[in-house]
Amino acid sequence: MLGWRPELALFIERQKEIGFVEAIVEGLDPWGDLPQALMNLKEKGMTIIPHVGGIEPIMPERIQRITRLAERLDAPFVSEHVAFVRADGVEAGHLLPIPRTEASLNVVVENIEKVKACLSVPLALENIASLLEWPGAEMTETEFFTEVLERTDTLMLLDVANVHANTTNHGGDPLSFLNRIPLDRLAYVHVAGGIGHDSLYHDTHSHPVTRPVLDILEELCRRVYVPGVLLERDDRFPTDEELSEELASIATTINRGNLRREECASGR
Amino acid sequence: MHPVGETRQQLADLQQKLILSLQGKEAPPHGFDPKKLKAAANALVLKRTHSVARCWPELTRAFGSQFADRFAAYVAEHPLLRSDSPLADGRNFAEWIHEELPLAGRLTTIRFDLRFARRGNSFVQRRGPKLTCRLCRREKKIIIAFRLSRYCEKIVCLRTPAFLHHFNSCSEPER
Repeated sequence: MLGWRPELALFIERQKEIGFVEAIVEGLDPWGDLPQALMNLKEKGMTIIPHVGGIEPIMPERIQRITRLAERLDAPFVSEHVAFVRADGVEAGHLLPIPRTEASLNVVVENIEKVKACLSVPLALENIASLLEWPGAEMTETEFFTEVLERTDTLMLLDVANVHANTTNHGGDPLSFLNRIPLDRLAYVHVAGGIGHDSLYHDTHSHPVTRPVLDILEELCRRVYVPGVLLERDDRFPTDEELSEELASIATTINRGNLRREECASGR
Repeated sequence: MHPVGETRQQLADLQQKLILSLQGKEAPPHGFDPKKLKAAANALVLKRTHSVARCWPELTRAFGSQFADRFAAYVAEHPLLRSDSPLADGRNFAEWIHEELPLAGRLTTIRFDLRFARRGNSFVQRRGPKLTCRLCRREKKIIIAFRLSRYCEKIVCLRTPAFLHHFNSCSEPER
């Protein structure tokens, strides 16, 4: 399962089994021509999930974009980040974290409920990686993420690479993170690569997936059935062989986690 | 005002302050880790640089090892707009740095201008024909480019007679 990018379109089209793809909403015109390669996948019956940037104040045009795309792609749900990308007309150019306070939580919940009210399909919310943490946090990342999910009654898109990034950069234990979030809301999972630089981990989506991220994925699969895992690659695209190997490595990790879960369940 | 409304504006103000501090335009809200703030600011510039490099490989190659530094200088003066795609961002960079553009960079921007027209802050695909002519004094060349349709484009680069270099170059991009 792979994030759809124009650079990966041919690779995806050639695969016998890709499962599902994500399409970034900001790069598509909901009322115009959609990329032919993407429409070909839809014609073949592939599931395409529209993936949105950050949670924003309610803007009718933005909600219409998301709903229109979901209809045109016959998407089973839409996914969005718990983050902001702009504020009062100023663009960040990337996902930034929301202050983890009760007051911010209320704003975020209100925004999400307005989007949900217009969607005819469920919404899944994703945790982000961030090099920054707001001072004055009133709750931990898992508490904030869980509160957002439960108050809005939405699905969860768990990015295990972001779990690794944030526990590396801000402290904490990835397995404790997994134990503290509502895994029964899991819709699907993201994995991605990154690099360490100057004692910080950067979730670049431009490098191979690292062993610690795969370990978290295996531990997740040990805890719960994972409906789907999607690899995000946005730049420095590898060869087809390298990409195939990486997808195979992810599949092996999932199988290992599933086996351990089944052994636990059967008491072996 | 609704309580969430008051908080909504306070939240927007704080978030805007953070974005502006990452762009170096003002001091950050109190309490952020300075090292992580700097790393995040650098990461934003790098992300924008890589996005443009992907869309404009010839422009990137034209500047070689200088591209990252020159683009970072452009970023410092040009905050991202909501309408800015990486394609538009690259074209705006080319316009900003026009006088320094090597010939290969000018050719790639001319090719872009045959296909896209500026509309406010963004670019739209052209549907009709287009003719453009640029005099490159430094390289002593004149570039003539025309487009009849998406399937018929031609760019010709000719050496110019000496007397033409006494005139100013057609250095402003076509609108």
